[in-house]
Amino acid sequence: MPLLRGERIRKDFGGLRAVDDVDFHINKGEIVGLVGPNGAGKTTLFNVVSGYYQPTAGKVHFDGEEIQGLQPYQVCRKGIARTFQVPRPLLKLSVFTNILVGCLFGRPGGGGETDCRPEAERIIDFLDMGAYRNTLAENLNVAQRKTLEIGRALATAPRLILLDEVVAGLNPTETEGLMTKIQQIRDSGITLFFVEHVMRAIMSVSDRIYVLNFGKRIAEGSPEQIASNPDVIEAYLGRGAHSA
Amino acid sequence: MLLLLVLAILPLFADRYVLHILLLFFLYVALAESWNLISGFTGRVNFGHVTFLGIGAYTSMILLKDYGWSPFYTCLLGGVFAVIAAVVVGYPLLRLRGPYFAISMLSLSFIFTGLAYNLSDLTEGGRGISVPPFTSKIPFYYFMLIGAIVAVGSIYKISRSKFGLGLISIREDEEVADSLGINTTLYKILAFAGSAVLPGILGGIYGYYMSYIDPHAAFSFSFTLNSIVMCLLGGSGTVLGPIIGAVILRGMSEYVSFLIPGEFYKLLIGALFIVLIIYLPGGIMSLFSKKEGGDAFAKR
Repeated sequence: MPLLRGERIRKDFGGLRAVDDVDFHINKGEIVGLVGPNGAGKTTLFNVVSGYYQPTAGKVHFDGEEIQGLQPYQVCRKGIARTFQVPRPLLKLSVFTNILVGCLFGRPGGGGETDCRPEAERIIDFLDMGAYRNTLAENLNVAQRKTLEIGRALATAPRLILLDEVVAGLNPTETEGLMTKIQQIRDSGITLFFVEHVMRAIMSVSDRIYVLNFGKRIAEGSPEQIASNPDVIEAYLGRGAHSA
Repeated sequence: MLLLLVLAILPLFADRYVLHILLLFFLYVALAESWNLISGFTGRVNFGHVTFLGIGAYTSMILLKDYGWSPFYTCLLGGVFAVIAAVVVGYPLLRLRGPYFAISMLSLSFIFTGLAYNLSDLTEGGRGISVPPFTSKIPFYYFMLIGAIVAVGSIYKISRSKFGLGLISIREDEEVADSLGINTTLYKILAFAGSAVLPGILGGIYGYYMSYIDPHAAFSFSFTLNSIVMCLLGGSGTVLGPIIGAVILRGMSEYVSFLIPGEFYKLLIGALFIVLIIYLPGGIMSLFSKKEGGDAFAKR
């Protein structure tokens, strides 16, 4: 049984169908990529899974349980963490406290401070953020903020993390470093579903990829299959591009 | 501690004027600290804070006069009514943010002023409710002192608790707080209800102390404005800020009204408010807190 399964998920905004009857599944331990041109509905799909949007139709199953319609904080406590496309740290709090919040509130039944303090320190060490432990989040640069997003998600003890464009805007070295961390997170038993525009990043780490275009799922497969899929090439480059 | 001891034995020596000034100061500390809870910590700027004071004052005065209850019970019941009001109006209004919440709360205080004027069977309308004055200021002094201590003590506790961290997270980014497992609706309502407790109880004490309330006095915007300016002046979202703000503002208003009688000091408060927003939005406390590691949880 897949860990996360979306069943004919549809999301309308007025007359616009942002996500159009999309089916997908993610198995435990996988890294699954979600790609598509701007406006394809990737972030909307994430928002449906994480509880920000109610789907217009369709169901989301997590670990055999229907979770559509739950509030974001309930989804988080079920074991699905998310990061935001534009990092949104709690600006007036330190890196340490940002991560502590995830642990204190995001775990099923809630965490206690005695358990969460060492846990937050462990996560800071894992992400090599020790030098910024006490830095207020408002003083972090983009790469540090993106790393903090991951740290906060990890603190909620998730079984699945939804990563929304974690490496967008980072330089190649920073991207490399973060992708290594993401693989280590997967190796620790956490499943990952991520939206990404940086193709090199998504091709290198994904086990499978889904492609959305205008809200519809147009392809699914291994990175190699996706790279050579004519529908995908057409969605990105236009008709006739692959024959040119 | 020493300061508390001095304040505790002060009524033995001080004259009535000094007691009056301090008693109002304690009331303002309690009001400013409760405003701090919903606005400084949770980030919902409340321009109708006086509503809870007015509800407490009217509840207490009506029960005192028409039913002859003991002031202990009427004041506590005033607190209960204020909390009920906070939960009932908080559920819909706390969805609003920024100026929308501020304006809706300001309107709410006007609505209650109107109710107090018009439900004259209950509130005696614009004539107001008067009760026979109590002979001594000393019990009022102690109750207000206790109110201020409870306010400061609870804010101190909350600022270092998981609950307080949840509120700060909501202030910083409500959607992120939600995504990290915080039940934001529940937390906001708890904070709002908490911010109504002391204004409700002390409103009753204040009414009995003045031995008279009318709609304009009980729902006066100046209580709200003072709470806000005290918090902003000292530093909202801090424990000591509202006390510092209350000392400066009360001191200033007494001194200025001494020099220039009348309502002139209100002009100064308004001007101070504007200057603060522009030049020192973090308040006086922000001058002391270091740039890094400024939050209470990061310390090892």
